[in-house]
Amino acid sequence: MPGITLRNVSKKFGKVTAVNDVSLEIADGEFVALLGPSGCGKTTILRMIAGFEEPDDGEITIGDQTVFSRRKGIFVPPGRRNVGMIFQSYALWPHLTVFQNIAFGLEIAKVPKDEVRRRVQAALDMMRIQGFEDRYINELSGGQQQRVAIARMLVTRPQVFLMDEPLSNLDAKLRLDMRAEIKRLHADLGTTCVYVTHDQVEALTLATRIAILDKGTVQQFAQPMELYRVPANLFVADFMGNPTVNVLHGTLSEGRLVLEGFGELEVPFDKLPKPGCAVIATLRPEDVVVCHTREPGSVEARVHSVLPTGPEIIVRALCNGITLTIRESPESAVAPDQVVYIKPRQGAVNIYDERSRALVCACV
Amino acid sequence: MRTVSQGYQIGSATRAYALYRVRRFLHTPYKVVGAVLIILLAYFIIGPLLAMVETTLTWQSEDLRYAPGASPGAFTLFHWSRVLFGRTSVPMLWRPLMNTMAIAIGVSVLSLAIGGILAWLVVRTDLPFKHLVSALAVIPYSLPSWVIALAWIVVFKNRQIGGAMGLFEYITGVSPPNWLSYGIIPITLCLALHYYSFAFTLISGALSSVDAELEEAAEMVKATRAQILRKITFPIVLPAILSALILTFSRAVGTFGTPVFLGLPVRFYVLSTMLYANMDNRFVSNAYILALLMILISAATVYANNKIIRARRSFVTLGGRGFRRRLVRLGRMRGIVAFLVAGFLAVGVVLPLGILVWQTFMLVEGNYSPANFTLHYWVGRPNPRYAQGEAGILRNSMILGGAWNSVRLALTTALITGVAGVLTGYVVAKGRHTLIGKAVEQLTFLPFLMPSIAFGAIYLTMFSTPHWIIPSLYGTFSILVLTCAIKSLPYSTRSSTSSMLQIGGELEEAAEVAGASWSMRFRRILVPLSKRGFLAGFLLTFITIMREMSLIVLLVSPSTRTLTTMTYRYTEQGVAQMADAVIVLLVTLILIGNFLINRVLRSREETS
Repeated sequence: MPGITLRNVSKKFGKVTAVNDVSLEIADGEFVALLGPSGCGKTTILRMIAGFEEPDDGEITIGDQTVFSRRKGIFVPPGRRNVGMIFQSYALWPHLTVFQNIAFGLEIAKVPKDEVRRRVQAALDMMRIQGFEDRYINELSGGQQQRVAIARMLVTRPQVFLMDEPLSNLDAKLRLDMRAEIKRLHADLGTTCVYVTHDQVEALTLATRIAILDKGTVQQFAQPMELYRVPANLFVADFMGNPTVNVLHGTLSEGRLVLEGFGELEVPFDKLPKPGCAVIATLRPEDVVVCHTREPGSVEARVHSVLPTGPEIIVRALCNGITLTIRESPESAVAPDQVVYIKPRQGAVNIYDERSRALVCACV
Repeated sequence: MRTVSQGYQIGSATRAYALYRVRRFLHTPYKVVGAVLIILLAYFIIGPLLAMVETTLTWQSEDLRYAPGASPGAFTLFHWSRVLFGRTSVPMLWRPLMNTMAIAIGVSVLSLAIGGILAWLVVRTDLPFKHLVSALAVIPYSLPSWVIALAWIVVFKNRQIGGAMGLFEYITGVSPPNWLSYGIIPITLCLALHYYSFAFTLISGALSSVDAELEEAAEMVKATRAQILRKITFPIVLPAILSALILTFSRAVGTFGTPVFLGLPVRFYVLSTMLYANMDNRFVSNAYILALLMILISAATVYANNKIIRARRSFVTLGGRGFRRRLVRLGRMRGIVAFLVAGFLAVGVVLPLGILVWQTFMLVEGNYSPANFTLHYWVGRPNPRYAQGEAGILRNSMILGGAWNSVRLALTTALITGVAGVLTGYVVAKGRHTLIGKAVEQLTFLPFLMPSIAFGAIYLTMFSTPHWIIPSLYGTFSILVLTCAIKSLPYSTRSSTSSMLQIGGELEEAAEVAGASWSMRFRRILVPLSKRGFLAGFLLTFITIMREMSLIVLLVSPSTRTLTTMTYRYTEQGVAQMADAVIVLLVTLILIGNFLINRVLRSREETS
């Protein structure tokens, strides 16, 4: 059962804390994305799992092997952790051919020659790059290089796949292709994957679970849709979603949420935290309902700009001095300076404590 | 990082952790290699420096000549106070210091002007025959800095010093005045004609990385050409200009050959020649004090340069995006400018070499008639009437031995520095953010701060007696190799660090994750990938050492003389034709080497 466990792992570089007391439980066969802005510690975590960085504290296990433990004084070097890795730069060796690149790990493991040939061929077949064996890396396109990098990782049959922003050097179209390729690979092989990315769409489309990181700590570790629907704190709420979520300041009092410039909302009694506290409510752009006539609970807003993107229209509207982002269907006929009436969709507002920035009340 | 060997009680958890740390250290190759390198570098760089300081602060046995009561080995400030404030301090220190400064400033400004204008013409205008111009412009830099000085003597020699008449007097009939023949003016001019190519290379590099769009953006707001040059282009290349200025200055401070040839005949001293004179007369502590002062000046300039570069680095990091470059049309001036450039290159580059070659064919120095033509100094049999009875250089076993010494020294040094550079580069690149990496980087940089002649002086003290595990190396070939290798280390470390930063990162880690051991990674990944950088560095060191004189002039013995130091000896003996023939031989070897470098680098570029 090659799951991965991190227990209270910390890592400092000089005075900068890159990873701060992180614990993660990754089950066998999961595809976990580590997602966060640059400098959040995601790559450091991956490199600690691989063994390229040594944590200052904590414990890491892969399957039933403890690969690092500060307490027990254990450190297993990368080559003996039985992990495969794809690097951001692919790290394909330019002085070796495609075949030699893929066969390298097998030669190190002293696999017999004919079996090397067979397994390299199988990996090439799997990644659909047959016929490129004798080429050098600089004779391949970016997408082909990516496939070689994946083949090189597959061929030694590691128990865990580690990927460090593998698609960030590809253009948009190729990235979509390779995303599908990687997802298919995971479905076929079922190998545990840890995937580092700063691209939320990549994380949402690929992962079975996503760990959102900021400043070296895990903000939330959950399934993609839960992460999107019920962010555990304001950082996650703001980080997830494009365009970003609408943020409204307000106060809670006696079953009501009073939002500055946006009117009032009923909050069910059973969900009510302590009244009178300052809160921040979030509302996704697609959860803003636009009406052309005044309706109960709606407020007046003036359209500021209309930005069609093809499958949808992003509308910016001003409502009592607050700018709101609204996602509309392409059929919607709104024009700049038009007056519209908007209200939140039922059950779409999340409420956060302004001070602690943590979720206090979901889906109001 | 604590080791467990401390005597006091420590808890078992602490002890286990300490053991773990030691084990991890031993399993991290760059740390182990780095630790070994730190010890070696400290021994070979810091050690001699401290030994030198110590010598200047203690009584030496040779001091008994004038301080009979002194007990050798005891602490004293006598040497420092004598050099700095004593009766002889003016001719010993202050006048040479002033001369050095005046020359260094003059050389930097002059070579900047020449190099800057030439760079601008080549990179930014429609000057004709650009490739030829830039090929010729960099030749002086690959030759020894004092080649031009020797040519100067041939032309402007006057008879006040004695000897034959110079070419100038032969043509005009006027004996040139002393200030034109020797001393500060010819030294400054000759050095500028050497060091301008340094400024040329740096500034043309910076100029060609300026995106024309930056200038076009200024043109959009109706800036004139002069305004653009002054307000956009100039500030962008300013860091390169300052760098060239400062580095030229620090080189000029340490230069030895030119002031020897053009200064000594009229007793005109700079710091380096005064250092040599003191060493020659066994005033060792005086020489060391001068060496330390030279190191101080050089270190200060390099420090200033790093400050400037760091503060302004942001300008030069322009993206790798391809961009157009627009050329300034010289218009009607084109012909005139081209003529001037051609004239300059003819006078500054082609003529000196031509004069030296010509001189080697003159049987009697200063007689320019065709009847005086001879091949004696090249292939002649020994004749007591000429060259003090020595055979022509091509059949002179001593000179051929010197040529072999030059080549052998350059090859050995290049090989050792190359290999050492791969290791130091690896440690610096892998340990970029660690103490070990930074220590190795700083240590390998130190020799760069030390003027060559001072560096040679250091090694003379340190290794002229048996020292630790090293036997006495005085007069051996090994001490030349050692000195040259350590002195070249900054360059090879720099170049190999940049290539190791690329290949020592993910490319090595990819092999590590595949289970390859360190020796395997080194053999199969790092070495093959750094081959190209290694070769380039190897050849560069080879050329540098071939032309080296000031570094080894204190260290050579009759059996280890190189071509450069032989030139010096022949000039001292007044056999100009032999000196010039040796130089021509050396220049030929260097140009062949240079040609090979370009061939190798170009063919490598094509294959990759």
